[in-house]
Amino acid sequence: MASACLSNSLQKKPALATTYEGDSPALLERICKISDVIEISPDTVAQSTHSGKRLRESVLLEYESVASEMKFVAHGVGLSIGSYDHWDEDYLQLLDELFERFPLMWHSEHLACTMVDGESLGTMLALPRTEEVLDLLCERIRRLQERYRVPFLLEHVIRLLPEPEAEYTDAAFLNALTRRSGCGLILDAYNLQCDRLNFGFEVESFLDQLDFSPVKELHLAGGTQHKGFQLDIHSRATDVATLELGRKIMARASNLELVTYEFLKEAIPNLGHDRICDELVRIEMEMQL
Amino acid sequence: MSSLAAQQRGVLALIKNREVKERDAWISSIEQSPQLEMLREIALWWRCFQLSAQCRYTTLLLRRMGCFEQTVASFFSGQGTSPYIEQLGRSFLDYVKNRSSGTINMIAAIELAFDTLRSTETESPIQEIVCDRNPDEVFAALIQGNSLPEADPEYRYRLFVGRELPNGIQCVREKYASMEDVDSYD
Repeated sequence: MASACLSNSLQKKPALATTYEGDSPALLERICKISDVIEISPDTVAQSTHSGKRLRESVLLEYESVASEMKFVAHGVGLSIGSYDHWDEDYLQLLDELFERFPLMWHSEHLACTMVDGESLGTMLALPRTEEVLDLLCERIRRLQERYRVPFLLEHVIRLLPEPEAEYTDAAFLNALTRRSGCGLILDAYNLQCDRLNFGFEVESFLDQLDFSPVKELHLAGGTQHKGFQLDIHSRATDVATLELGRKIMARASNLELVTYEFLKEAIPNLGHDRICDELVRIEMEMQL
Repeated sequence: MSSLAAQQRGVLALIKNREVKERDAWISSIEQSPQLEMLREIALWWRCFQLSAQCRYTTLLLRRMGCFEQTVASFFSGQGTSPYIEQLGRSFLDYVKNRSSGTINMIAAIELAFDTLRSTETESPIQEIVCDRNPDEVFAALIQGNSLPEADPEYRYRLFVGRELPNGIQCVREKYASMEDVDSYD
């Protein structure tokens, strides 16, 4: 028991990360004084021109200006790793470009489908927990691991629709996925809260069944309700229940390296720079980072 | 077709309000669910939000005419939309331009021409948009929330957009009856 306590106390504390998608240099300057890592979403800092898609040079220069003091992780939105037909190759080209410019601790994506038959769904769909999907994901993860020689992590997304028949529980599916593919996991405390509120998801039971060893990152965020539905729109400060859940996850995830506060760029005018920075300080204190 | 393919195609059709070609028990069960309605609302809300930022003047005008949400819903349902905002905006402007006349057609065509100017690195042909009223006054009215100017019965306005022009734009006012009285301004 004592040795367990000692090893826990000697365990390296996770670092603090946050989203930054460019065009607010004053915010970037303040963020860098509080957090250690910046989460970059390649597809949200991309520009689509008639000659193709590229990362916006002005945003890359902003990242470059803080590269000596900050680390970076890539967190994609639109790879669509779970589409039955193919993923979005354009996203990988953006990721290639990002890797050419910056060393990344790892890159990650959502365990979701955003494109079907090459057409955007306009949202992120959770994947059925079946053997068919597991096979498809493992093969695609293998290709990603070959292409980029840094860890690859997946994040569960909120469920928006009642689920199809499943062959695995949520935790058993993630356990099988990480065991077979060797990928890491991001747990999002806010997403779990959304599922609890919207569908009565039993979070504690999920956590009890989950293998925490692949969990390297924890996401925190706050959102809003629409017609009684808790939305996965990161527009607010983290609420107390989400922080509490985050602490429970952190206590179990001994390989956790990063705690990330996520907010949408579109939410910055409403949140304000002060509140974003206050939130980072609050998370640092509450999570004892 | 695998069950995953059938399910994902089914959900795409449901979100886009299209006919579902192959339905299983799950697709049938979600078809009438309140969650599906919510999903559609969220998807449309995001498209409206993105398009308002990307196609500022066309969306301002559509809002004024009370048909913005309806136009976005038809666009979203009928088109394969891109997740990349510039491409989304471009295809929306093209959609509006090809299905409208009068001032909406004019504003969408101008915004599209400027998008081409911004997003094309090499020289491209000069684009011409013929307007039945002073485009400067239309844009000013949209920004300030004033009434739109009436069509000019005497003049037409030939707006040129291209990289080779000074500031990328030139407008020529021409009298309808004869071409004697021509004013040009940038």
